[in-house]
Amino acid sequence: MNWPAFTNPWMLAGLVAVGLPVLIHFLTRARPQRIAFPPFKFLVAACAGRQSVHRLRTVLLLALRCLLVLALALLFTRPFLKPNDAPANPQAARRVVLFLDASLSMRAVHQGISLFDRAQAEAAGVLRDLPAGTEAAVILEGATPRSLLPALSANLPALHDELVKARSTYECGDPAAALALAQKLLGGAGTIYIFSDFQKSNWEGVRELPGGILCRLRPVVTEAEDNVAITTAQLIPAAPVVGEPVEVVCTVFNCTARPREETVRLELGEFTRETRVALPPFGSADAVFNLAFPRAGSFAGKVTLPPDDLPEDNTRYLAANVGKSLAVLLVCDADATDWQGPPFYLGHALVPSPQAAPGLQLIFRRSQDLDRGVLETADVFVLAAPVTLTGEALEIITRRVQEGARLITFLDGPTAPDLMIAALAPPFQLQRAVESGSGEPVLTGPHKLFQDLDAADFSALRFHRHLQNQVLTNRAGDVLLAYPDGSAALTLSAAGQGAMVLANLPLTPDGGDFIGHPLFPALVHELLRAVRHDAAEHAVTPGAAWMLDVPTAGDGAVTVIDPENQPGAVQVLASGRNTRLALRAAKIPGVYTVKQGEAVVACAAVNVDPQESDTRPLALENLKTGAGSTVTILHDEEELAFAGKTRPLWPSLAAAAAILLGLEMLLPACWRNAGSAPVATAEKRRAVAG
Amino acid sequence: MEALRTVRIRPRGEAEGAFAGPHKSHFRGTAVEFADYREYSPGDDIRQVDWKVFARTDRHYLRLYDAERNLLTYQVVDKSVSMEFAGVVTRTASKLEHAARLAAAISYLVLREGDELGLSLVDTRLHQHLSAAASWAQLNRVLDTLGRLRAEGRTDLGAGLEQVFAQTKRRGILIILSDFLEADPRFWKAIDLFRRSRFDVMFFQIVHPEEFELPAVLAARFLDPEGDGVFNTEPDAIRNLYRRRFAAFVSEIKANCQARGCDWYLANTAEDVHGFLRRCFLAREGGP
Repeated sequence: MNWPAFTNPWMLAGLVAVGLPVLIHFLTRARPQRIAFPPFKFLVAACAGRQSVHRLRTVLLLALRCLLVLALALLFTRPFLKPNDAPANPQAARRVVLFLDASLSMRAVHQGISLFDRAQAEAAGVLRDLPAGTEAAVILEGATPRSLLPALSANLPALHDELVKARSTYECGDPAAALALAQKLLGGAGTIYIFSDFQKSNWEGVRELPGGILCRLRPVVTEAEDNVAITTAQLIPAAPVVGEPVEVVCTVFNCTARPREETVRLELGEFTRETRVALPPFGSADAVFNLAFPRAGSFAGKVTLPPDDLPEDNTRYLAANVGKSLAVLLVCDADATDWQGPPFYLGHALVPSPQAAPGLQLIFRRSQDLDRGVLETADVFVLAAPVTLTGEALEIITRRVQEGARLITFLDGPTAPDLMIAALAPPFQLQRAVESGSGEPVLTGPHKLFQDLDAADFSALRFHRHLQNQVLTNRAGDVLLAYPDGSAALTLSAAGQGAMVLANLPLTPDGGDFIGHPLFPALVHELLRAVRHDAAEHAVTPGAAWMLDVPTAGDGAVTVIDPENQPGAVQVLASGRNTRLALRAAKIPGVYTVKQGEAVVACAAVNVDPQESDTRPLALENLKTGAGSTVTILHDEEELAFAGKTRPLWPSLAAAAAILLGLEMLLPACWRNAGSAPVATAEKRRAVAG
Repeated sequence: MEALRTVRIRPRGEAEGAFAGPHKSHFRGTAVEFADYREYSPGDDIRQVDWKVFARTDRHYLRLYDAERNLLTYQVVDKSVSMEFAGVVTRTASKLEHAARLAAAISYLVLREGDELGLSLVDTRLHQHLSAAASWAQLNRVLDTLGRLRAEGRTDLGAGLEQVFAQTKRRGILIILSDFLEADPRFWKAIDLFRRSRFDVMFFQIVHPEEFELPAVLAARFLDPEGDGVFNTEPDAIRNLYRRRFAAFVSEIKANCQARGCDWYLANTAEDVHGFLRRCFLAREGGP
């Protein structure tokens, strides 16, 4: 706010009357009578300190009267405040965009009302107060910003109707896109009112506010939110098989400034488990549930926390499509019965016994025996060199891996370059084969394979040959083991929707002492587990279109049922043994069920974006302003109501004058009552006289 | 004076006057009321020997009688400047005038009974002392002294009473008329001196009504009559506090008097002297 201006400035001359009470005080005050008073000392003793109080009261009363006169004098001047952010171009004030954050975090409830409802009500108030002839638009900020009307419109009542019908979403906000849309609608000049919680996690992506535009920021958050959220819920492995030990790992995020302990509840199929998790302030912790699915099929469920200010992120949905078995295709041209050959070691490492690897189906094939059927059904490909693959086989494997299958390739021997499938973007480039008589050790890379470091002591192992290679820039994180010359010995990389392991390790006893070492089966098992462990949960969030691969049989129509049991629009992109479905953006989180006819063939979970769970607000002062833009922060509803408007001060002055007048009348009465008690009666005196 | 016609001032103890009078004395004399026997010792008046007892016992005993003596009354009037206060809005006789009227009335009562009366005027010291006498001429002297009384000097009742004590020959009634505003430890020591000598002590505390309530004026510059203190205030603003403080002072004087077995009376200058005295002395007659 700037300095006040006056409608009747000549009335400021009345300010000289401020001295009137002081003048009256000195002119009319009683002349003290001189009294020689014998009990003088009692007078002084009784009133010790009261004189200064009395003087203070007199000064206070005088000040009150002066202020009263001042308020009355100012009242007649009709003061008002001009808006300090008035746009230089008057036309800019007539082009307004109301930017309404409709992301998930705006569903948080403060004082019984959701942030979105508050923002919506305030935006509606601004819309109603816009002068006639103003062109306005309302943008809802979600995963994709949406303007309620396609362009700026002078039909404010229609826009108001659309605004009050708007609802908040479960989507993750994209303020940068919404601001870009606003700037496009305004065409370079105008005013944007932004109603948002200004979540740091979303808004720090905004490089700067649109240039040449007046931005009025209205943070609708009134208090720190009490919010705890489940930000991830993963099944490990992501596609489990019957009987296999499965971990459900949930990450719980505490978005408050105090440590807390929460109960996490898992409901998945017939499983119901609870555990408690201790959370540091603004930190995360994992809650882990162990289970094994008793049968194949689709299991849907959720992980929940007790409700808080933002209950929508306290539930995370899970969908487990449990397979009957995991088909591991081991491709090797060596004799499987040769106990010194790679198939023997790998086979025994992968399946030591049916009990040790439940649900795992090992299929052994020579490269020349590979057929389309086995290639299309395998879940994991293990290529043990030397292998000579046909171009068709390589093509199928590449496609399958990109679609989600896993690939473990052992590079040893002259065929290694052929197994470096370029389409899968291997993390290193082979250079040449090197040999070492004394043997080379391997060192652990930045990516840890084993959680338990004691289990990963490779220092005793020596390798007599390896393929020297060059790790690509920015792919060092994929390296699990490396040779002293910098060559990668073992890497784990994402490849399309699948994953790929490249093992630059000799697979025969003459290549080193790895084969036969107890670490070998452990490493193979851990690789299989790691390669099946999705790097991140395949997060499908509301507001984003998504695709789903489901196993189908026959030509029956495929439908998708949303969590509200309503069929959704679905487009079949590819069909066959697996059908690829393209789905429209989900509106609500939950478990979406895919049916073929009446049979449930798969289910998939849609969850809110964890970014929305971090509700810490951005420091608005740090928001960069664009060239020529003006930013005003409207801290309360009053500032919002008077934003851009001339603000009359007479109501405040009149209220002040009334209060001052009341005080001027009330205080002396109070002091009189406190200072002089009822007149002492004759009875009292007689009582003293005894 | 009609109001005081039936009023008599009687000592609580025994009179010790020089002449025979109506008040009981601890002196043994020759009056009619037998008191005791005492064995003869050389020098005793042989006329007091009880010969009937001698005849029966062959030993000489003297008959002892309770002698009735007249009453000695000493009046001490405080004539300091503080006694000059006569009020600002509620005008009455000054405290000194009121004290003088009380003293005159008491003098009349004493001399009417044929008792001896003395008068002392004190401020910081004993100013004037009329020795005790029992004649009507003494009344004239007392009234003359009281008539010429002027308030002056600061107050030191303790020092004045010590000097009065030195002037007294025999015990009797000590009547003090003052506002007791400067009742310091020395004063109370002097009172103790009198009480140890078995004086019957009566306090008449002279108070003006405005000393209870503060003068009803809007603003006042209060001056200390016996000092240089100045205090500007609006009495209405402090009346309640002052009233409580002054009542505490009066209660303190009363409590000190009662602790020493003295009689204490609050004399309001707005009250009639004779009615007040009648009420006081009748209460004293009926009292313990």
